[in-house]
Amino acid sequence: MSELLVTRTVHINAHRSAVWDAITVPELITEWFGNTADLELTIGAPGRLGWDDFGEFRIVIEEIDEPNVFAFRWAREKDTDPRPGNSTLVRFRLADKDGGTELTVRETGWEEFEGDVEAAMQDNTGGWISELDELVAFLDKQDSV
Amino acid sequence: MTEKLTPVFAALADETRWDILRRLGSRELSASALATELPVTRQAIAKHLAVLTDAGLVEAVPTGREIRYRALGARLSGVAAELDRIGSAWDDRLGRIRAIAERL
Repeated sequence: MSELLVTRTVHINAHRSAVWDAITVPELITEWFGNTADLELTIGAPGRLGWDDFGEFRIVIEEIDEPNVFAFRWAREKDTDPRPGNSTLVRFRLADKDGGTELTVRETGWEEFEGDVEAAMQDNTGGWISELDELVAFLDKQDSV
Repeated sequence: MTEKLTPVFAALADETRWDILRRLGSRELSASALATELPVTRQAIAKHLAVLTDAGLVEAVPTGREIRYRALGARLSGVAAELDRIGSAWDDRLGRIRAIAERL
């Protein structure tokens, strides 16, 4: 089985522990992803990511290897438990690089979708637009400090 | 894009079908010709071609006595565009993660 995947990498001038916190601490997650985040760092633990405009999406923590790997399955239907077929798997990998951290994300599972993957992707785009608004607000806040 | 992408994703999630698509991308081939190039039976090739055809990734082209198949680029570029969009969303999120981690 070959996999359809989306993968992206970013270099961050910070220790792995700081990057780990940015991707796993709920109060920090809401600065880059969604408006609310409720999760517990335990494999198999359910969590919720909320968008003011789109509702709540459930996640399940799939992998925790602090501070190397963090992965969760993300349901693409509102208020529905994630399982293969209605969700994608988001996996972060952290590595030391050039005095900082290289953070790589992979999102997979599109080919397992039973429903309308296109609608799921558009939800994702909607989420992204609201995140852009957050980013602008965040940058404004930084400027005024 | 109004057509559903689900069957396209499912169709692409198979090494043999990628091989078939790659070969049909360079030239039109019949199921028999594909069977001689790939380590798969002709029956299996026929099944894969049916999946690819249903997904709109290839089309049958009657040529003389045989049916050849050709790859259709439009659906593939549609998938590429969607994946690219998802990737851009991650670029933005990673950029924000970087800003957060660097200020911690």
